[in-house]
Amino acid sequence: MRITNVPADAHSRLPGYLRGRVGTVERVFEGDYAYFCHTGDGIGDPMPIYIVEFEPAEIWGARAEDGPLTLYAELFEAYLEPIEEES
Amino acid sequence: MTGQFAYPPDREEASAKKAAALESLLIEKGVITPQTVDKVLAYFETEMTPLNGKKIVVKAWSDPEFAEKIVVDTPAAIAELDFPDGMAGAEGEHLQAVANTAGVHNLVICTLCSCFPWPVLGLPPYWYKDPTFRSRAAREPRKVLAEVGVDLPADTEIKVWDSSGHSRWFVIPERPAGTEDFTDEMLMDLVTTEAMIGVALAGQPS
Repeated sequence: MRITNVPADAHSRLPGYLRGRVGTVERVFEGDYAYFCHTGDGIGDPMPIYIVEFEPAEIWGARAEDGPLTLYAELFEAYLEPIEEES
Repeated sequence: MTGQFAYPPDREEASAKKAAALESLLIEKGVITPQTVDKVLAYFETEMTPLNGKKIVVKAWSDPEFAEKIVVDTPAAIAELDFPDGMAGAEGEHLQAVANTAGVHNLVICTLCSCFPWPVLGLPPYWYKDPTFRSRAAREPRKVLAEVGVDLPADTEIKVWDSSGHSRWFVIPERPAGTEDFTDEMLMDLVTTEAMIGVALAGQPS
C-alpha cells in the first residue's frame, strides 16, 4: 500500500511522517469504523481500518536506526492506496 | 524537518489556559456544571487506573491460556475479569494488548496526540504527549529506550505501535526471572505504567 498525501485539513488521523510511504498490510480489523467527525481529508464515514507495517528505511532512509525494528500504524482505508506488487 | 512540525515553547502553558477558558465558557453557558470536569477526572483517577492494567498483566503471567487470549481478543479476555463497568468505553473501545517475548520488545506511542488506553492505564502521563518524545520514539526508539534505562540486546526486535487509528494499545511486559514464588500482590508491584507502555521493563525502577 502507498499512504496518501491528501491535502491536510484542520484535523487528521494520518501521521505526517507516513505520507507517501509504502507499507504492507499486517491486519484488517473486522467491520467498518466511523470517525466522530468528517475531517476533510477523507475519514468520517464508516470504513475499514488496517494495521500497516513499515520498514524504518522506507520512512527515514539512510538515517533509519540500526537494529531490527518494525513500525506499525493503524490507518483508515481513506489513507491507503493500493500499489502493484513488484514481481 | 520543516516548520510544519514546529511548536511553540510555551505550548503547555498556553494549552492549560485554553482548557481553563473553555471550561469557564461551558460552565457559563450551562453546558456543564462547575463540578463536571473534576468529577470526570476523579473517576479516571480512582476507577480507571494502572491497577487494572497490573491485574491484567499478572493474570497473563500466571495463566497461559489467558496470556494467549489477551493478545488475540483483548476485550473478550478482559471481560472475563472482575472490573468496574465502563472498561469498554471512554477510550477503551478497542483495547489491544501486545506481549513482549525473549526477542521482541513492544513500544506504544501516539505520534498524533495522546491516544492512550485509559481504562487499563489511567490518564496518559505528561511526557507521553510531549512532541519530542512522540517524534523521537518513532524515529529512534532503540536510542530513546536506552536513554530511559531499557538496554535491549542488539538482536531484539523493537515493534513500535503508533496508535493513529482506533485501537488503544498496551504492553504485557515479560515476567522477571526469579519471581516464581511471588504472590499476585508482589507481582503487581513489578508492573508499572511505564512497563505497560514499553518504556520500562517489569521490575525496573522508573
